[in-house]
Amino acid sequence: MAIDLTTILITCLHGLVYGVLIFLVASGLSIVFGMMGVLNLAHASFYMLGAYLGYSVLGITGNFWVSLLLGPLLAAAAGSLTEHFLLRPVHEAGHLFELMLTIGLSLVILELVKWGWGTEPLPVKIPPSLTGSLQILGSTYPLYRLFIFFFGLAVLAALALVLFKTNLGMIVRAAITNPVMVSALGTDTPRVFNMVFALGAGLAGLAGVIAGPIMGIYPGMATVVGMDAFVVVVVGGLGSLLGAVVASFLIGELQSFGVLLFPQFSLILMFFIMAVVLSIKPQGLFGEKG
Amino acid sequence: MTTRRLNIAVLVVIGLAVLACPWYLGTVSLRLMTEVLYYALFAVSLNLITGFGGLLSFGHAAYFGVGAYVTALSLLHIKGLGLIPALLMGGLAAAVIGAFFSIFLIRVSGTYYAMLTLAFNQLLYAVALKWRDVTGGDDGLGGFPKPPLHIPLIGGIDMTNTANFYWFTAVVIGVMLFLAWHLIRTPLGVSIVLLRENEERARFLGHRTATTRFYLFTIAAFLAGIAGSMFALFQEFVSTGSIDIFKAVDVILMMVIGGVGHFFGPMLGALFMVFVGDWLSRLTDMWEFYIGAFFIAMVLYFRGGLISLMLYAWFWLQRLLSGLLGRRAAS
Repeated sequence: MAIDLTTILITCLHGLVYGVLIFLVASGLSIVFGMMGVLNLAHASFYMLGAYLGYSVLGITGNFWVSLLLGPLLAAAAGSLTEHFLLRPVHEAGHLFELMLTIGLSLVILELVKWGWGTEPLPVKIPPSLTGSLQILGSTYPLYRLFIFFFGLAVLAALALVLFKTNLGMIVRAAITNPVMVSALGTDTPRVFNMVFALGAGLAGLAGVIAGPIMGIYPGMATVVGMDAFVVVVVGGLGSLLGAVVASFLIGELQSFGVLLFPQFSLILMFFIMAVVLSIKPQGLFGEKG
Repeated sequence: MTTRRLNIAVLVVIGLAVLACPWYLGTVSLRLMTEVLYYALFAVSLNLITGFGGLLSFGHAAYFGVGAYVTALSLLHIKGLGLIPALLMGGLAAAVIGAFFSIFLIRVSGTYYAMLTLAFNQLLYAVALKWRDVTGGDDGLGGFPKPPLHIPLIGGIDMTNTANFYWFTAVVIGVMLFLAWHLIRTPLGVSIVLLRENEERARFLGHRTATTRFYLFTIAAFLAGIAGSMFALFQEFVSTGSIDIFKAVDVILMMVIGGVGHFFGPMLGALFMVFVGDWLSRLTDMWEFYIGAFFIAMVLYFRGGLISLMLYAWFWLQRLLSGLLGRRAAS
């Protein structure tokens, strides 16, 4: 197969789009771990939950933009409830039981989704206002994928703005470094934890809603994206937003070019990279915590 | 002393009840019981790492899968291979992989350990899925022979017979479980628990923490590999289902539901998961939901698992009995 410049360009764009999607999932996972020390193995379940809830909202209202707003909000609410009623009581028992709890949670959410929406893949159409394609350097590219890319970038910018320019962001960053000290200084850290957990779940849900039309909605969707998000978080460094950004685009491009160039080995290569990073530098490329 | 004797008596009764299963269980239940046995070993081997070593492995299915695939492949490609050699090849291959992974695993702890085991598991899963020429990929491997067991002076015992295979499984798993039980009573076993409790102090006392963990991971991998081998021999079919993430989750469920940290807990968990899972799956499509919800309830409210529930009942019964007997002696 001859690979010309256009193919490379398209593949590169695909990689960027997928990178943005994994970033939305991985950023929440990473911040929650950095702050609460909890690796949420059920994090991708919120991605799936967001996609399914968005699908139902779209079915009821018929408006993509409403589903884009409500899907993530409902996922965030589910995240908030999860943190309050399930994770918080287990916290004192140590990280072993927290990990176990999130495993059980992912199982339960998966079964609930199968029960509520069935096991068949659900058809989602690209919203009418975003159908069609654009001409880029002599080739066409679907408008919706470009929308995902720029929308994701906007979310990333908003996230960075909140995290680095607001009071709340300052508290979150301080809590990542030293949660006990932040609590001693008079901040209601459990409430901040809850908000951050909900925010992470909401971001994952958002990724689920916008990914639906191009990646499909089916019960296995959480496992696929969840694994990629884990690789991203591990490679970028648990708790690092910058790491999540860099690693997301890295893994996105790797997946994209892997499918094109060496489909046999792309999956193996990804986990190989994850194992190598963990073995040599467990805190990841940009992680601060050892 | 009497408590010890009583405990041994209880274990002997349970052991005999397990061996006598073919006489009082139907074929379907006997097959489920065979599954219970190898899953019990699988869960016990994980419990060595998690319960006694204090580390949650999120990729224990890697060793189970390697054991299963290697046994299947060697029976498929080596003509006239015996039953025991096929079993041992599965276990040893898992031990070799486990030893190799341990080189990297001894350097990390906590969440990073869970992540690295996950990465290794997924790496092997990806190989099993993509290396179609050898593993059959999605289609899996089947059609390998199930050789009879050759015992000197007695001759060959047909393993296609459900009861015969059950007894063979019971003996193999029994020996392996005894090895695991013995391990935690050796100095190495004591050292493993010491590492869980206080690694720094263990190091100050002169324990080689890395070596201890290396042995722990390798032995646990071997036991999981034997469990996987038995799985392959029993199912006569091996697919990526034996090495994927869901297998790794299943064994964690068994261990926690049964009772993590208690030696006999995971066996109870395996019994519960196989039989209750089978019963629920015939009642409802959502059976995994109920298992998951039960698991979450366990983690939230009853971290000791089923085994500690049973032990409470047992102590209560003992006190009741001794109270009654004591009163009779006094009157």
